[in-house]
Order: sequence, then structure tokens, then C-alpha cells
Amino acid sequence: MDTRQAEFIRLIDHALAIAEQMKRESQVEQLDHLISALQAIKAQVIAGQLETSQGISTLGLARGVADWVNSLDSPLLKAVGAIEQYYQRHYA
Amino acid sequence: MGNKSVSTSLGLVAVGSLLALTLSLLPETSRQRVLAQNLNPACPLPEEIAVTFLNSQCKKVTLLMPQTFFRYYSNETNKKGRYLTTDQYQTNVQVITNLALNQAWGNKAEKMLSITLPAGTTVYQGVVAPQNPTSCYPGGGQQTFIENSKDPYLFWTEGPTLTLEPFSCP
Repeated sequence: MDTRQAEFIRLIDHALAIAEQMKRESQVEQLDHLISALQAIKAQVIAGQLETSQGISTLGLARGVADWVNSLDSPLLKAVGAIEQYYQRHYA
Repeated sequence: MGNKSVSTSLGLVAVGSLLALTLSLLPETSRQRVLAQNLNPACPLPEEIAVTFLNSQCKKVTLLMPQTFFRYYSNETNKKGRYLTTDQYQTNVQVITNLALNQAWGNKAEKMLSITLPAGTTVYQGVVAPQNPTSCYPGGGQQTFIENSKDPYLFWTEGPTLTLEPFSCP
């Protein structure tokens, strides 16, 4: 695994940890979708099968979370935002 | 080694001074443009939200009069939220592709809501960014983001059911 993959997986795992913690505290259906999406992206990264972003496309994580999360300062939104930014910059 | 380090530092100071001088000589608008690029204010929203707009570009608008927007949904979970649009679509597939509604999130876009925002509401408008896989979710539709979808002064009205067509994404 190269440095780029390792850093990307670190960011995904960070978001997964926050999402799973939130799920333990409150049952929000969207958290299940988010966790599934993060796990699917992680598997694609490990397999080297993630489509490139061309510096434009997103993974839909920020869109998915910003739509419903209570606070726009939420650590979960920051965490998925960091994934999106890394994806656009390093998988271009 | 020491001399190299001193000359490198002097060089950096000189470059910095030259840059500052160049900026001060630029007309006000050009100077703002240069600084704006550094701060990436193409969309005055946090980066994690701006990224959902094409090229992270959006425009902040304060509504001068009440305005009606649309939202597409399929169940109570995705009925209300911060993402709206000015675009009216006829079919679920148009919505899913143009608004890049990744089906993994469960919104099948089967129904439409009209949302009237009161005058004075701040909205952020731009174009939907494509989502991975882009062959399924190219985006390109109009996107409006509101900070508070739970504002009691928003008026949500049920709209028509959309024409449903099969959608598949490899």
C-alpha cells in the first residue's frame, strides 16, 4: 500500500469511527448509508479500483451528510469533507 | 553550506518583498482577485460544503422576496434537507442523474416537494458537482443550499409524483 492509499484510508477510518460513535448514540438511518458508503469506498481504495476524480467529481459523502446533519460544524461533516478534498487533490 | 543557507534566505526575502510590491502596485480589483484565489472564496461556504458544487463554485444570494424551490424525495428520511433546486423534472431518472442522487443513500426521487423560502433567507446557488461513478451521476443541475432546513418559516408543499423509469448503475 502506498502513502497516498494509506493516508486516504486513515481519513476514511476516522470518518467511520465518528459515524459509528454517532450511531451508538442515536439511530439515524442516514448513518447506515454513510457507513456502507465509506466501507465501499475503502474497499475500492484497497483494491485500487477507485475511479479518478479528474479534480472535479466527488464521492457524494459531503453531499450525503450536509443534507441532514444537525450542525454544519459537525466533526462528521468535517471528516467526510477531508475525504472529499483528498480525493479531488490526490485521485485526480 | 552556511553561505548557501544565508543566500537562500536572502533570496526568499527578496521574492517576498517583490511579491508584496507587485501586489501593492496592482489595481484594487486585481489585488482582491489574487488574494481571493489564495483563500478560495469561490463559494462562501466551508470547503466541505462548497465541494458539493461544481468546481466548488457557488454564489451567496439573499432573497429579496419569497421564492419557491423544489426538492425530490422518496421517503420520510430524505423528505426534508438542505439541498434544493430551481429545476423542475418530470422523471426520477432526470433527477437522479442531474442532481447526482447516489442511490446508495436511498433517495429514489419519486416525489416532489415545493419549498417557499421567505424574503431575507440566504441561499447558496450553483451547479451540482458530478459524483463517482460519473457515468451514473454526472450532475449539472441547479443546486441551492440552505443552512437551516428546519426553519419554521419555510413552507413545504407536496408536489406531483414523478414519472418513474428504471434506473441502474453498473
